[in-house]
Amino acid sequence: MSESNLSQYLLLFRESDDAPDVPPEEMQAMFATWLAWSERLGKVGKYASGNPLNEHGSVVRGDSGESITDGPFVEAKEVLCGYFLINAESMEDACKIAGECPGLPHGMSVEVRPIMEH
Amino acid sequence: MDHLFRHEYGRLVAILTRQLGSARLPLVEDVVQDALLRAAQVWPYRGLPPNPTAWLLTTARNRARDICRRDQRWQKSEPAITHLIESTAAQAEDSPAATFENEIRDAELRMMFVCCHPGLSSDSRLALILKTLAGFGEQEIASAFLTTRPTITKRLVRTRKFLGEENVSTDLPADAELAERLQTVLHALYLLFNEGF
Repeated sequence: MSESNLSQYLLLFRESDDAPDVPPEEMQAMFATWLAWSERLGKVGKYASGNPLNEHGSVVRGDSGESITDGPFVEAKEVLCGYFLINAESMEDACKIAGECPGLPHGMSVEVRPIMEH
Repeated sequence: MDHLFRHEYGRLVAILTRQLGSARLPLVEDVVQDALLRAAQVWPYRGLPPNPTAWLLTTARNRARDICRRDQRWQKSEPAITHLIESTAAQAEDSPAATFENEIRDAELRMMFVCCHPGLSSDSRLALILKTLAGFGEQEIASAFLTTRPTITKRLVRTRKFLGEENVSTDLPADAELAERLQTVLHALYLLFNEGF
């Protein structure tokens, strides 16, 4: 499979905003499965890049950006906590990859968005 | 990789306690916990850093500095801590890996002696060792002692309070006291293995 057959998709990870006290061994498990997942994708050329996001930020609105509020959204139950830019064969393939996200059993959700081409 | 976090927890608590003093153990435990959580969030996206311990140590130190700057309780000692954090941070990045490892081992030994202070009960010593040096969660310690988590939480709070009030030194004791304390260290180690931890 050549890279040219692959399209890019953005995976957006959202989790609920209550941070529990996680003991080291649980953190270890969470971290190990995530790292294994991204490394596995990397080996088959499907991981392009990614970053975790700080949960606090600002939202800018108004014609000249005069309205700045604490974000993302105060009332939202879920916060965007990171993203992967992946290379996938199709939307179906991208959703299959998203379905392997280790955060899913812990209440995380993954939004899959194709990057527009041309 | 299986026990990386548990292992690093103990090493980081030991080295930061050595630098910031045993009276600041609650702060140390908080910032180490934060650094590990940060690693669990960041590493899956960017891969393992070349020296995970140094990465965690820098992250924990920065967190400690931020807390000291913000928190009223630490305001008075803040300039001293900030200076300490910055000077030791520079040292860690400059020292060769072997020196760094030796420093950590030295700090772990000192932490063992802090945990085995004669003013603490045998149960308190063990709970503190399991929590700080072995990186156990409070629930795991409770299971090991066949007791409840709130009991362990209270015991650890009392133990940290004692270290704070007595301002227990992280320097190794001298001569006669060393021999005496060594006995409590050996006893604690014996119990650790005997209990099958």
